[in-house]
Amino acid sequence: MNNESQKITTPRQGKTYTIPIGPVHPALKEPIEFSFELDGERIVGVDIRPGYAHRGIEFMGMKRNLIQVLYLSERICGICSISHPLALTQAVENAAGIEVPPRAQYIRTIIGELERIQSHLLWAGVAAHELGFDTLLHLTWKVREKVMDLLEDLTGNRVDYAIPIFGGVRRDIPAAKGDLAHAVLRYYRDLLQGLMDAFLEDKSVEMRTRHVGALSRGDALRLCAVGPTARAAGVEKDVRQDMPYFAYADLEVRAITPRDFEQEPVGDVFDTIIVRLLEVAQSIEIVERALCEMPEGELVSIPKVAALLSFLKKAEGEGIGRHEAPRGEVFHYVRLEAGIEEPIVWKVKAPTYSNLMAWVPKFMGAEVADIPIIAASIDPCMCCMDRVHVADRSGRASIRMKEELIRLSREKTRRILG
Amino acid sequence: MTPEALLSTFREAFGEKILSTRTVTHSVGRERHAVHNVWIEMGRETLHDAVAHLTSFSHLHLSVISGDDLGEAIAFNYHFAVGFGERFGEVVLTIRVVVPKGDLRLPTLTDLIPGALTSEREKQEFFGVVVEGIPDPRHLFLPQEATFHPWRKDEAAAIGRETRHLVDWETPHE
Amino acid sequence: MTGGIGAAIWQGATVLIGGALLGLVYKGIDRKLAARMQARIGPPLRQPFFDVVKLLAKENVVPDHAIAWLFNGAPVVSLAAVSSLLFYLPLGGFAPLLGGHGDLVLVIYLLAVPAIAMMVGGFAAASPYASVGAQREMVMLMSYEFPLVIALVSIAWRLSTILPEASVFSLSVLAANPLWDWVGPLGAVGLVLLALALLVVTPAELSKIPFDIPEAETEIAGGLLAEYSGRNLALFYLADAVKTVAMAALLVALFFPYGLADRLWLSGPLAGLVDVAFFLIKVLVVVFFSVIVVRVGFARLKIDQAARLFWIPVTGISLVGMVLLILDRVA
Repeated sequence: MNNESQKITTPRQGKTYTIPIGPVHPALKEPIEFSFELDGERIVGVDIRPGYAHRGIEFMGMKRNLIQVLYLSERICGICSISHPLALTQAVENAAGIEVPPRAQYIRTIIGELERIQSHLLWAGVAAHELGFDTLLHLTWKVREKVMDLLEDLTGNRVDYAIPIFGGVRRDIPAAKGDLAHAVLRYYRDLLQGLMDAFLEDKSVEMRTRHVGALSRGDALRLCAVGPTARAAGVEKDVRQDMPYFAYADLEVRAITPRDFEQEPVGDVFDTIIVRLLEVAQSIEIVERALCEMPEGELVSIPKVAALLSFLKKAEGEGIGRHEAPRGEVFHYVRLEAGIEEPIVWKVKAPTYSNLMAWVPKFMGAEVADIPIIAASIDPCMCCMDRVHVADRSGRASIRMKEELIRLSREKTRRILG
Repeated sequence: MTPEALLSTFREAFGEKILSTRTVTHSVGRERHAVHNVWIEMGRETLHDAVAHLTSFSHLHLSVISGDDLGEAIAFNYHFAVGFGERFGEVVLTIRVVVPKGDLRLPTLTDLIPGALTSEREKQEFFGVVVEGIPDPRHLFLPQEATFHPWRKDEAAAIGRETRHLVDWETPHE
Repeated sequence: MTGGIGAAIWQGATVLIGGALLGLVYKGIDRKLAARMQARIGPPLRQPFFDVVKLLAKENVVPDHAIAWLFNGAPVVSLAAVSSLLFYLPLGGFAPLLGGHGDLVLVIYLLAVPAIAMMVGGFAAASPYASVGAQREMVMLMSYEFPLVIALVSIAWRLSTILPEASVFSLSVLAANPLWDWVGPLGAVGLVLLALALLVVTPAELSKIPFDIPEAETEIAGGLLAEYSGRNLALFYLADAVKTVAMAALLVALFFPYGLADRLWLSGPLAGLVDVAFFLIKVLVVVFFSVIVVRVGFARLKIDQAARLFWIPVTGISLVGMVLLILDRVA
């Protein structure tokens, strides 16, 4: 932190002290460093330092052919493992001018929405845990398993579904699997009211989340917030509504805000719970409709991978791909040059990247006890957003390369073994 | 907002300062609805005015700024979402600014869009461009001491030193 | 308290070891039941024993900047205080071992000692997390002590009006003369309110959800206990287990000291056995309702919310209970 003057602070009286949260802390599921300036239990300043999970994915991608990049993109994040490939395939299809058959567009939509259900339930559990409400964590994660099982049934994997390919999808959803999906969706439909009651009618959850980490509509717009974070603040922004793609163009998808729960949005943690739970209901509806209205036809426009690779090698142009991931807008930009297999430029923008700035107004004025739930409220995904970074005992930070890390770990093993 | 309307307000406001424009339309869904991407190339000096112009008539969302090392110059693409809030209402507008490597400077947009800070910090550390007037010039993802710029094609030697053995097959063993 | 010093030592050792074992068993039951209520399988019943054994075998780390003697002393004081509590509480059909040497007021102090010891240990650890935890513990202590003392003193005072000659602050006297037998309907309502207030105070006294604010894992990484490891942590763990039993035993002694043996016309060793078993069940019931159900059913409160809860509604309830007991006397 070599530029202390840049900390965002408000005028204050009395003595303040600094408390570090992270890079490793029980409130954080992934590494990021917060430095909070506290006046008693009240936060008067916050400095955010990401980068602890930076792996240089875009750099790696620019050294690989597009099919390899597709697999790499799937491994950007484990929770939104379909969101990045969906955005990447759109970007490349737009750049190279590849058409996607309608059935493939519907299958992409279905898997994308199932992922949303899975991700939002995961978040709800984490949020409950951050509040110290472990019962709710265990119950939500238990019911989440159903959709994980369904995803495994449909794609073969619990995560990293390997469904999209440039110009279509790699796997069909046959009628029998569709029935299975309908059964799981019915299960969630019956369960949802109970889940809503458990989160939204519970007095202790309300006490911990109402007016905590509020984000005004103005701030959400100014700070370019995306996804449920922005929608909880009353910004009706959802790529599926604003600029539909895939089956969302045929199905009427509307941005969900707390107004759908008959509440004026204040952008606090409670509102983000409302938005996410209502979006689970919305996703159930989208998947059910998509399953029923899915047209017959081809799955992929260029079925042979070798043909696809040579087509992509000849392609020239630039394209943008966007997908409304569970956490918000995922944005991929790709530029291709004829005769070169690798993308010349690959820029990935994950939702947490956009929501990073929204953390600051959310934290200001909050209490230490609110830190975990506010940190969790944007559903951060550091691995999406962010090389190895080591601080030695003197507090000096340095970059350590792979060989040196191996050398250091071998030394440590020898030291331990005596 | 239609792409035509967007482009005509730009032509009206900036005229000759627009270097090139392009509208790309894609069809989506079974019903083959049309969605539009608009690309405008402008000079560095008009970028700030162009964004001010955009903010005057619409809520403006800056998705991200992407960079493209062209060899002698670097192109920066400012990807905006204009007109969100209604179905099919949004147009993705990309303002492209080409900056020569001898004079790597960009104006900051944080006075108009505070949310641009994250992306501007990232461009500074990954391309070595100087964003003039940026409120927080620290590195975002890389260590503060890092002096190389990973997305610059002319720094391959320095980057190579820092990222050697990323995977074994990428760099043959000496 | 008969027999020689040797017998007294034996009795003392039995109570101490028994108390610790019992505490760990209740902890096991607590974890298992909570797990079942959360749709989990949960750890085996003897998991707390494994935990203590493992912790005792682990390295005991003292942070560089900590005040070592305070840091190491705190867990010992904490465990010593809760263990000596056991000597003053009637356990089952047996009178307290040191019944004649201390009374309810001493018990109130002994209950506060572990919290203060943890606070001192927290400040001595020189960790920001532990300091925040210690500040929170201080606020908690100031919040729940008031309703606790109101409840205890009201009961003793009401008894003194009935038995003016007895030493009413002695727990054995309190347990031998349940107030329910003496008070009218007004007093009974008052007693119910006091019992209710103490049931809310119990999870706070034991730092359990929703009042585990000084330890709050997700917020301050264990707070007071953040820097503790190995033997020290094992001592705090044991102290927590024993305190759970002691707190529940106190509630039982005050509000439901009845034995079963008299009602079943039993006598001799069998009577003692039945009463001990009945006592253990009563303790379990108290632990179940004031610890397990509460920690499964609520989210953690914030410190200001917890303080407000104790200062206004809980103190209010106990004051109403006190007033009802006074009115009962007047009536």
